[in-house]
Amino acid sequence: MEREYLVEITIESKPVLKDPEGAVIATDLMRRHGFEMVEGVRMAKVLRVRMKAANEKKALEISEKMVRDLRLANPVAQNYTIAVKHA
Amino acid sequence: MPRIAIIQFPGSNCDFDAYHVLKEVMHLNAELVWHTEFKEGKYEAAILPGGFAYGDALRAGIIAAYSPAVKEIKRMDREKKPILGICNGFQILTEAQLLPGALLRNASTRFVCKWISMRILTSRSAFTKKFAKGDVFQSPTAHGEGNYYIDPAGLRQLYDNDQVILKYCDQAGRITPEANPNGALDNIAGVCNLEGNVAGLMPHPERASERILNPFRNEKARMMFESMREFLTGKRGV
Repeated sequence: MEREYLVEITIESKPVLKDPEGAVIATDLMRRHGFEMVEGVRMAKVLRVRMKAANEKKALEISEKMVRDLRLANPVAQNYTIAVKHA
Repeated sequence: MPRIAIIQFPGSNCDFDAYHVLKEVMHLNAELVWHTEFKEGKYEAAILPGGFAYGDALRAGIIAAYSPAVKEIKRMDREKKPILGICNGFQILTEAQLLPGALLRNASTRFVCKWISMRILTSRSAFTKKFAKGDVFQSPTAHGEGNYYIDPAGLRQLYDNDQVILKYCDQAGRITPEANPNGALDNIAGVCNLEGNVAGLMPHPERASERILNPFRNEKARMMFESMREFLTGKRGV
């Protein structure tokens, strides 16, 4: 029987690339206003996808295929992680 | 006369500017074509104009890159017909992998809207044929994601294969960091594919192709479209 899963696909630029937006958040917001312990911030985009799948493994497989086939993360400049959760 | 399609996606907004130059100024057989209506067999060339196709959802250009119209564009490429992507059109062509590299958020994180100078690096492409290497001309830029990036191996290939067509420069033609509006790697403003029939650039030559629109009082940007005309007529042996 199929279950509903919540899949979180997190997309961010590769570590070799600068992330000016994350840098501004770290230096001009966090560190400047009392959180000097912050060493860095990287901005990411999260796609929260609801889907039906036979099991958790299938939900992960489908998500992997979707990210690759539809280039949800641009392989030239971005990395991604996938986390499958029960809806 | 060869038919040239200017493809309109939901969110395109420089389509009429391109049409004006090709049709009204150059008297070419250009047509505005809604993306769902586009069939490549009817056309000898295509322009993907600037704008915000599909509202830049996920990444600028990615949704359009999967559209049936871009499937047609890929067929057109296999026939080596000239295809130009301007600004958002350039983003669509990189996302569709018709051109190498990616266009990232501007290094400043801000939308850049100003006139810039560009230097021609090669006259090998269908859209730079009529220029000489080293020519400098100006066009407006208006984008938030124009920061060209490619990995070091890809960059080497671009140079080895003479695929970098344009770089940002100052008015004297010097390629300096100050002349770079968006943080693009090596000041790259435009590239072409291996064969030279597909090209893309962030600046807008269609907005600088008439003296009256150009604060530098020249029409050099129009040479990009005149190059295309020469490419089309040359290919047909006219």
